[in-house]
Amino acid sequence: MLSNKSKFTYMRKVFMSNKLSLVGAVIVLIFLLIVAFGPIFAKIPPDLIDYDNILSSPSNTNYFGTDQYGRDLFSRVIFGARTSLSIGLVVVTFSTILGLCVGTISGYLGGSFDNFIMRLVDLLMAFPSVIVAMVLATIMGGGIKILIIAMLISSWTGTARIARGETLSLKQSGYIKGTQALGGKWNYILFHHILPNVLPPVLVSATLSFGNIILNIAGLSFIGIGVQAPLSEWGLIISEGREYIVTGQWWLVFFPGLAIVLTVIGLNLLGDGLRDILDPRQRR
Amino acid sequence: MSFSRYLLKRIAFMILVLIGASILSFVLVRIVPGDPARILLPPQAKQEDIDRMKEKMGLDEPYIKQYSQYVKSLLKGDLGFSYHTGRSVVDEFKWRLPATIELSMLSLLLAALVGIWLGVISATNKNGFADHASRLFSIGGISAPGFWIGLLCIYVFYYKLSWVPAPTGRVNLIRETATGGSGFLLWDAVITGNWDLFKDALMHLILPVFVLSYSFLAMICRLTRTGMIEVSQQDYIRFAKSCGIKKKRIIWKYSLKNGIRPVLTMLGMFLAQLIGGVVFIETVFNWPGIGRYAVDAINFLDYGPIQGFIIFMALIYVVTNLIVDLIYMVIDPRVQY
Repeated sequence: MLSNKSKFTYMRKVFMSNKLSLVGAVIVLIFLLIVAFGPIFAKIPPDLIDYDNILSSPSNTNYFGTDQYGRDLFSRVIFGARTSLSIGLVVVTFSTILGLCVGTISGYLGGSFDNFIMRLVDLLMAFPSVIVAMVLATIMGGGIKILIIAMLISSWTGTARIARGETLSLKQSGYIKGTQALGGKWNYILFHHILPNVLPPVLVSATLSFGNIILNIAGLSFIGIGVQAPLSEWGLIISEGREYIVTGQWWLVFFPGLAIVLTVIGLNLLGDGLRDILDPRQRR
Repeated sequence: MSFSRYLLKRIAFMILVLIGASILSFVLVRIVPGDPARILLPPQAKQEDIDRMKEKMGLDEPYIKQYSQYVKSLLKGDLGFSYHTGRSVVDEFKWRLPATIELSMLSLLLAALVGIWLGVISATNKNGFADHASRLFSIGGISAPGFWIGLLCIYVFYYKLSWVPAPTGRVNLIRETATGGSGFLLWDAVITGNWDLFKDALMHLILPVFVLSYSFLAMICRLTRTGMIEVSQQDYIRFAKSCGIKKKRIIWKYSLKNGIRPVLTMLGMFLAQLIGGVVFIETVFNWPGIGRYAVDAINFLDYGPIQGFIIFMALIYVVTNLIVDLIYMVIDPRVQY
């Protein structure tokens, strides 16, 4: 057994040895800083309308140019980071907790309950989150709340599958059987033995699915279901600038999209790096 | 378990899914805010008019009876009608479906061919230049939203380079779309020998097909790569190598058959994602398919098409999953049913 200090040194070594995961961590860190301190850099308010300065190309005052209302695109993208990332964080947190609980319990109990849950997961996985969100939006009208619920419904399933798989293999291991033979209660086994072992792969998958969730939020806002007009969100900004692409105002679409791509790449690389540390069996 | 019992079990599951979908779409209309009968009538309609309309639509019956009516009409192939366009959903689907199928099947084909090819190249040159290049390419496909790539492609290839026509859907705006036939424009054009139409349709297809296939291509490439690397370490491949069989033959004939199994397992999921992706690509390129029909329906709060869409999605889901399972059995006889 490694001491805590050398364990940490080992982890750092593994993480640092993969240059790409370091890049990912830096990208994610930069975006987190933007979320926290963005308004300091973006001096122009994101919803300041200026009709004398519409659709101007990127310049020294408007780094990313302005949109059809003369609003500064740089500010809008920076403030958009707050919307996109905070919604993403809420969704990824709750879906991970839900998936972890359902998956672990389902795997541990087994039998017909497990069967039912897994069929449900199969079914939900078959319906793309776009469709789920569409149905919900028709019933309850669009908006951030609906967006979050729709994303939750479709994103807990992956985590549940991983947690269940891990639990199933742990259940067969000697020490769990030993604890059971010694009369360990199910909730004790679940919380003290299974959960700590299921957590690492689940955390890795949460980081990887965070990127996917960001993509979905942008997509749903793009087709008008998610975040609504006066707010700024990356997908929404792209949708607002969409028609100007055929007349040559590329910056309205380019910069918010670039922000999405960078965030998602950063999260994916970070997830790969975390997998190397936390889940050495999956290492490539 | 015998094969016939397995098939029966599968069919029972399919029916269960379809019943679930029908309940979902039935409930959808009953819990939406606003009265469907009121929406159909002009705002100044009197209460008795609304009641009469309700009676006509069967909305005054008990729910159980309404539901059985609904299922009956579904079984007859009636998917309801659109309040917005005033046309029946089946009619709309009939002329929109070929547009979506043409777009998505060509994309899937392109994604499968290029994705598997790249995955194999990647796996056989593990950690080489080709591997890194194709992984970089696929990271782009996984990390970038399709609608964004679509818009950028329109900017570069239409606005800057004028290589492709404006994103006006399947053909130029001035062209008559109704050429009769199957609705699959490329096919129709070949049959009637209308090469002008063929060229027009093809030029309009290139960008959307490329953009839609990009994200799938990336996933297929990744899965193929992992599958091929795993297979290449197995005994039968090592045996084949030691027998002196040519490397190319081993890769394309022996390894690939097992190497693309992860891709096949995910095929059902791909199809679900494909339909999700189609919604965005059709919106960006003004493609008159069912994806855009659904988006329009949402924006006009038009329940009919959405109900139809749910049923249709469920149908596609069960059918493809069955097909995937059957393909699996043909490819790998060890699979137990």
